Amino acid sequence: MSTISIAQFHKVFFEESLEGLDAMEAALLALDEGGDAELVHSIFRAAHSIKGGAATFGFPDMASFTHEAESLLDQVRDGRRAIDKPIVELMLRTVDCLRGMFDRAQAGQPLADAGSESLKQQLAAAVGREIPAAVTKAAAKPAASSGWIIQFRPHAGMLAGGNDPLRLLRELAALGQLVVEAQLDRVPALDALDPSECHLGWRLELTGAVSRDAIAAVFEWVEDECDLSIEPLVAVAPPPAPAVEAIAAPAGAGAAAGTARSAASSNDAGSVRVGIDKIDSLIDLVGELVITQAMLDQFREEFDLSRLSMLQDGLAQLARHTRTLQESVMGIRMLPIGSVFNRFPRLVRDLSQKLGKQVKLEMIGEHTELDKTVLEKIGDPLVHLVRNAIDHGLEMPDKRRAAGKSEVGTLRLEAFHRGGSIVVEIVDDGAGLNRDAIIAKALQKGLITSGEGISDEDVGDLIFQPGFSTAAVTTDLSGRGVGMDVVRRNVVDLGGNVAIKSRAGAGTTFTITLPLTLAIIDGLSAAVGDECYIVPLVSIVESIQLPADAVRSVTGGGELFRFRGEYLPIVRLHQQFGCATARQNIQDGLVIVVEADGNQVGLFVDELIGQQQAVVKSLEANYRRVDGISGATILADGSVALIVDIAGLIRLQGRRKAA
Amino acid sequence: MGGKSKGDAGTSGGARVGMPADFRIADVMDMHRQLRDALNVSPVVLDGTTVDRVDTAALQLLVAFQRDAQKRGHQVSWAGASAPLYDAASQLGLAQTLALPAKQSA
Repeated sequence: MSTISIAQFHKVFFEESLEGLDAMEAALLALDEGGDAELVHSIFRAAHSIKGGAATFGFPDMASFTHEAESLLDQVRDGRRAIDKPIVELMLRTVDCLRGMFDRAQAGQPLADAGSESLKQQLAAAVGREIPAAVTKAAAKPAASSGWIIQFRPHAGMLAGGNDPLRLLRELAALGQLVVEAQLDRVPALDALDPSECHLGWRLELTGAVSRDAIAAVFEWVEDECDLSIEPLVAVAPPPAPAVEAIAAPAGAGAAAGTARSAASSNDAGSVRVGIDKIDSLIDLVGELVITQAMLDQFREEFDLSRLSMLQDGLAQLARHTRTLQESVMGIRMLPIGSVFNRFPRLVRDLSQKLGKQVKLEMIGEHTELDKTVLEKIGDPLVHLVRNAIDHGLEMPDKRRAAGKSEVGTLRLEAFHRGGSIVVEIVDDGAGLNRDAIIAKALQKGLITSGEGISDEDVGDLIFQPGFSTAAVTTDLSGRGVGMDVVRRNVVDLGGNVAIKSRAGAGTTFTITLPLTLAIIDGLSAAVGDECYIVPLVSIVESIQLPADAVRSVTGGGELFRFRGEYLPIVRLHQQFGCATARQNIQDGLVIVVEADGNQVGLFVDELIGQQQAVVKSLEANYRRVDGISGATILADGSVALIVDIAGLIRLQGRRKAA
Repeated sequence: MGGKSKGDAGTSGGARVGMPADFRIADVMDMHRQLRDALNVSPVVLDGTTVDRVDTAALQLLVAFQRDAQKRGHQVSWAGASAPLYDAASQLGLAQTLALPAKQSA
C-alpha cells in the first residue's frame, strides 16, 4: 500500500489560509466602516475554508476554534444577529489568534494555548448568548451555554450488581438536555460475550443549568462500579458577559502576533507566488532568445564580411533580449508593497482607538513592486514609523482643534519609483518634531555639546541616535528605548536610507529610499594596484585628494585626517586586502569618505574608475567568507571585482584599534 | 421469568427471533443461545413487538448480535420494536446501531 503523506500539502494550506485571514481582516475592517452583506459572505467563506482545511490536514484544535467563529458568522449571515463593533472586534482577535495558530503549526508546536482557549469560550459564549433571544423555547432553560461532558464506563460487574445504566441515563436526561454517544469498542463478539457483564461505555453531553453535585448524585451508588469523569462542557472561566469587556486589550496581543509572525517567516526559506503573466512573458523571451541564437548559429557555418551587418543586428538583438530577460527574472522576485501596507489599516485602527486619536489613513502606490527580501525586511521599520507617527506625531483631537486643524489627523503612506530606487514616505500632519525637546534630550544624553545653531536637518538626525526617545511618558506603543536607530539600521542593512523632514505644527515626513533589489547594487569602482574594488554608492559621503601633510600618524600605527572638523581614521585598502603593487603615498591616491552605522572612515585607493551597477555574487557560496568583503561581481572584461563591506570594514578597524 | 421466547428456524434458510416480554438480565442467557444460532443463517428477522421490559444487558446482547451478523454480511431486519424497547435503546444511544424501525405506538 502506498501512503501519501498529507504533510506535503501543509505549506499550501498555510499559505492559502494566511491569505484567507488577510482577506478576512480586510473585509472586517471594511465592515467596521459600514459594509454590505457580500463582505459578511466573504468573511464566512474564508473561515469556512480554514475550518475545512484544518480538519482535513489534522489540526483539530484549529478546526474546533474556527468552528466557533463560523457559528457566530453564520448567525450574522442569516440575519439572526446584527454585525456590530463588539463582533467585529471579536472576529479581528479571532484572525490574530488564527495567525498565531498557523505560526505554531509551522513551528510544529501545539496549536491551542490559553489565549486561543479563552477566545474560543468567548466565541461560544457570543453564539450561545444569542440563542435564547432568538429561540424562545430555549430561553426557558437558563444558561444554555453551560453544561457537562460525562465519560461513563461501567465495570463489567455493574449489571450483575443490579445497577442498570439505563436507569442512570434516564435520571440524567431528567436534569437537562442529554446527548448520548454509546461506545461499543469493548463489546466482545457474540460468542465470547457474557451477557450478564457490561462492556458498553458512554460519552454524555448534558447541557442546562446543572450543578456538578446533581450529576455526582446520580452516580452516587455506582461510584465503585464504573470509571467516571465529569468535566465542564464550557470552561467556567469567562461568564457569558465579557464579550465587550474582553475586547479592551487587543492591540498588544495583535502586536505580539505580528512579531511572532515575522519571526516565523524569517526562518523559512520562503516561496514566491508568481503571476502567470510574468511566467508567460519569460517564456516568450526565452523563445526570442532561441530564435536569435539560431540566427547567429548560421554564421558559424559560413561567414563572409558581406554579412557583417546581419551579425551586428543579431548581437544587438541578443543583448536586448538578455537585458529584458534579466529584468523579467528580477521581476519574479518583485512583489507589490501592498502586501506590507495591508497590515496598516488594522494597526492604525487599533492604535487610534487605544490612544483616543482620530486618524485617517491614506495609502498610495500599493502596486509599487519591491524585491521580496527587501519587502520582508521593511515591514517592521514601517510599523515602527507608523506607530511613532500616531503616538508622537499626531495630536489629540482637542489639541488639533485648538491649532485650527481638522480633528482627524491624516497619515499618508506612499510608495513610488524614483530613479533606480523605491521611495516610501510616511507623512503625518501632526505637530512636527519638537525641536526644543530633542535638543534638551540630546544635551542630556551628551550627544551634542550645545544647542546653538543646530540646523533642523541636524535635529532630525538626532532622533536616529541610539537610545534616543523624547516621549515624556514611555507608552507601550513606542518609546521603549528601541527606536529610530533600529529603523535606520534596518533600512541601511537593506542598502537604503531614511531621511526626515519636519515643520513645526504642520507635520513630519519620513522618507525611506530603498534599492529595487538586493541582487544589483550601484557602486563606485576603484583601482587598488592591479585589483578593482566596488564601493557601494549608498555608503559614500565624498571623495577627496589629500596632501601628504593632512595625515597624522597616531600611536599604535593608525592614521587620521581631518574631515569637516572631525578626525577620521584612514583605511588603506591595499594593506587591508594585501595588494602589493598599489600606491603608497597619500598624495598619489584618493580617499573615499564612507559611512556606516553612523561611523565614518576614509578608504585610501589608487584612483576611481567609474560608477557602475554590479550584479552581486555570493563570495561565501563560491569561495569562503572574507571579512570586509560582502560579495563579488564580474566586470565587463570578465575579471572579478570584490565588493567592499563598509560596515564590516569599520568594525574590523574598531577591533584593531581596541587591540 | 415469565416470557417464553419463540425461535423457529425458517424453512427458507433464514430465521425469525422473537423476544420475550420481559427481556432483562435474568433471561438473557436463553436469548444469547438463540442469537448465537441465528448468526449462522441469513436473513434474520428480529421481532421486538412484544417486549415490555428491557434493560442494558439485553440491548448489549442485541448490539453484539447485530454487529457480528453485519460482519458476516448477513441480513438482519426487524419485524417490529415495541415502544419500551425503542425508548430504552434511544436512551442508551443504541437505536441507530440496532437499526430499530421507527417507534410504534404501543
